[in-house]
Amino acid sequence: MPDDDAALVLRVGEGDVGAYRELVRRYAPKLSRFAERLLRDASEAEDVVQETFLRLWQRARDYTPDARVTTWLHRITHNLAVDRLRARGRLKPLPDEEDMPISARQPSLIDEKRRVVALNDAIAALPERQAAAVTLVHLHGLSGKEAAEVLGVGAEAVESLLARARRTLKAELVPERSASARGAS
Amino acid sequence: MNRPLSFERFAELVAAYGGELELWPADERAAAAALLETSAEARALVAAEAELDGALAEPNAAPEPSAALMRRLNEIPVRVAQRRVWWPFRRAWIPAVGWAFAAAVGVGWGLVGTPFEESELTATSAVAVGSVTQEAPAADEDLSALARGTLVEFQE
Repeated sequence: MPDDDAALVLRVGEGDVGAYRELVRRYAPKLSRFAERLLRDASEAEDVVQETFLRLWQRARDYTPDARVTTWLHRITHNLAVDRLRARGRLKPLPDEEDMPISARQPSLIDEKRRVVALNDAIAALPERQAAAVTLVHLHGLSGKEAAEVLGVGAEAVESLLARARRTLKAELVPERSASARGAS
Repeated sequence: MNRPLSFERFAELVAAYGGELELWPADERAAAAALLETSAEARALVAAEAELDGALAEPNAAPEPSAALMRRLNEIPVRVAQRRVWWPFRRAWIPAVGWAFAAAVGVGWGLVGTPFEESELTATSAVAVGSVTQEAPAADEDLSALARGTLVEFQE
């Protein structure tokens, strides 16, 4: 689909509304989730996604296939979200980022849907950058290098964010999964 | 031939990406696979991540945005004009600017520089002065007469 995405962006650059709406269909859900992970505010996340697609519509001609479309759009969303976090004074420098406590959750989550809900809750409770890195790599399929490009950090920083995030998620989710498996059997 | 991966680096990669090698940096996967074949410790690290990998790999589509947001997004092309394109050749401005700069340098050099030797310039000046003071050649008689006539009119 990446090549297909690039072709759609080129068509958007020519003013093709159908191509634009197809990209909205493909990416609005992912970008909304990504923005919400960063901003922790559904309304602000919607505004950021709207601004992202406004830029896509207005600046599709600026797109060059150096980066995949998914990386390009996630990067726009990330930069817009970071601007808002800075305006709020909420963005912490990377080295000072500390793990936040994860709220207690109900155990005995048996069905897949509830496990996914638990996973999403756990990811949402991570510090913003860790949540963003996990979302990009594990849920949205970007490589570590692409995630680094989106987040504006080096590949080593992304690995560090992922490692800290996974450590927290493992502590929260793996006992839960074991309990679920025991409950199901 | 890929360079072998140290166990320390392998552990860092497992901690960051989990045990699914397709998520790892492409240039380190082959060496990681080779280490996995030979190292029980490496296999133990991967096994310890299996449960979290399973949780992360479960179908987890992003939820659909609100209908209001989708409507706003779909209305953007109707409400907002695309940025006006006055230069449709994308990155062609880069060589264009290069050529314009080269042309400007050329013109500037032509205006400021001395294209002839000093002696040639003096000779040329002498010829120019001579053309004013001496009788004009027959072919230029009309023009010379006109110039003299104009000068007379100004002097009046």
